[in-house]
Amino acid sequence: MNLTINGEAVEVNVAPGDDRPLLWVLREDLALTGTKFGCGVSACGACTVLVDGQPTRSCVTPAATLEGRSVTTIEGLDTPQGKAVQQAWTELDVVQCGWCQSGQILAATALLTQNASPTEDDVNTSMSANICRCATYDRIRNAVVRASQLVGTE
Amino acid sequence: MAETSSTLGSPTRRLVLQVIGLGSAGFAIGCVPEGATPADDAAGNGVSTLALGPFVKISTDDKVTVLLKHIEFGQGVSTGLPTIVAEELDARWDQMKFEHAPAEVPTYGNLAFGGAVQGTGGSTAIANSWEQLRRAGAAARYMLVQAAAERWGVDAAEITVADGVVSAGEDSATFGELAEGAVAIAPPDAASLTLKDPSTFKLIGQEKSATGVSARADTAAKINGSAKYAMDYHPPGTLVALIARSPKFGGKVASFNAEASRAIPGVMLVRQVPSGVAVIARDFWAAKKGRDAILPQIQWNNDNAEMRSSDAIFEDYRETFDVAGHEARLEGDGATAIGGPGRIISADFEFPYRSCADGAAELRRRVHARRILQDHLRFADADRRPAGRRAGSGPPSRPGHDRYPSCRRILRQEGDAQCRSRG
Repeated sequence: MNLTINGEAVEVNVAPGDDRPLLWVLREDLALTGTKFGCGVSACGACTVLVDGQPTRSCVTPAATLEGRSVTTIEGLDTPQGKAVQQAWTELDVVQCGWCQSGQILAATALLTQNASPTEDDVNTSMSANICRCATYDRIRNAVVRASQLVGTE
Repeated sequence: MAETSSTLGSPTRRLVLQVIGLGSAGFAIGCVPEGATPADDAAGNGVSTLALGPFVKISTDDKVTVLLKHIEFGQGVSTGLPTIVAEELDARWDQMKFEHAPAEVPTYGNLAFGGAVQGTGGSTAIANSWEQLRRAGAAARYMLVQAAAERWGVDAAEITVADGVVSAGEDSATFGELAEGAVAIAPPDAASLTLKDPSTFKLIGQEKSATGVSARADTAAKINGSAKYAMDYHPPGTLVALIARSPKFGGKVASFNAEASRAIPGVMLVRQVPSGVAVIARDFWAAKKGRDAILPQIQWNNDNAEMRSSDAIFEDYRETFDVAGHEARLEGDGATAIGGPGRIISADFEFPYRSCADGAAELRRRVHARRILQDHLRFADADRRPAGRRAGSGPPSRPGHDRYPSCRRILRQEGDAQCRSRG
């Protein structure tokens, strides 16, 4: 079947009804390893991608259910909001080990796309399910607010 | 893009057994063509990279690469260690790069651990590398200066180095332009080199971050998905193994029935290993389903297992408060002070036992066809010897490359469930 990943139609070896999650199609078949495997049970957010703009846990989403949907991974993030998030992440040096950050960045992008000026509380509410073992939460919060300013100035 | 898992070859039984013998929680095994050794640098672009000692490489494109003997797992050594080298080298910060060093003791041993162990821990990275990397930077600088002196026919004493440029009078050259000459210079006795007066430091202790620019050397790759972690190393033909472990600490496999697991498409081998039962499959999902399928089919021997509940364990801990403890240090009279006037603030803090999988989270192994172990451990050398024993020969080489440890520490039982090997 075909999936649309980062704007391109990609043929993948997935049969209808197959339960293999999108995460492993991305990582193992397509070598898009920027999307990370954290918990495998939708509990940590490391595997977050965007499906039609919505943050989605790729570790529990069968690839076969995504025909006709548009998947965006960290490798293909190119919206103004996404670029602003990456710029803010750079300015504030958010990352430490980095394992969760692709998911954090995509979750932040989805938030900013829906809410151009989130408050710190909005960030907390929206992103509380994206866990960071290094505890970079404070910088994440500040960077999302900074990213909203960057989008606003463009 | 990588080929799909349908292209994998069949590993030999012997090979699989060798890899399982490493005794780890899980791993992947792949087959690569003979001769496909990992390249040290991006090839084919006409850029030569030349080693000036074990810690510094200079490329003809004017990049300076520092080999990290410590792993970068968020604490910042990929920024801090190159800073030390850049300072003594008089390099520009924007020309600095880094890569992780291979497992090689004593060259990359942690001097705070006596030098015989290559490890990252105890907040030792900067402290034990400090003088070593200053001298490594100074030695590379010396070689560049000597190369410039030969090229221009001037005395080395007339040469100055600043911001990545070597100069004498009208002559000047970048590090990249001098790299091929420098590599031909005999390395100096590092101990004889005069290091900088710290009051002249331009990079160490200075803020590198300008507005809109990252101060961390690893930020850029970690925000666009390009940073390669050990777990991201998954060439065509890689197999994945997961281990079904005892639900109780100390439980051992008594018996198991592999039929249901073997029936999962993609499962290639089910085998008992010291820590449980390993399921080896063509990809993660098949291995996971195979592992899920075998879990209820394992009978555990709990003779030496921890059988108490968490509540019971906490109760046991609380009882130890009534037992006189070991006196490590005594100052004043605590009992009298607590019994005296004033307010007593009392609070209980109880933390559940959670497997941090700290080291294991970083465990992603690969064994090359010619037995190259590709992993990323805090103690890089630790598993080479058992790997070599299992394979019946010496320790495999272990190239470093830019691979970060994969952080999956939030997991509990499955936190150590994957490492990757190739045979």
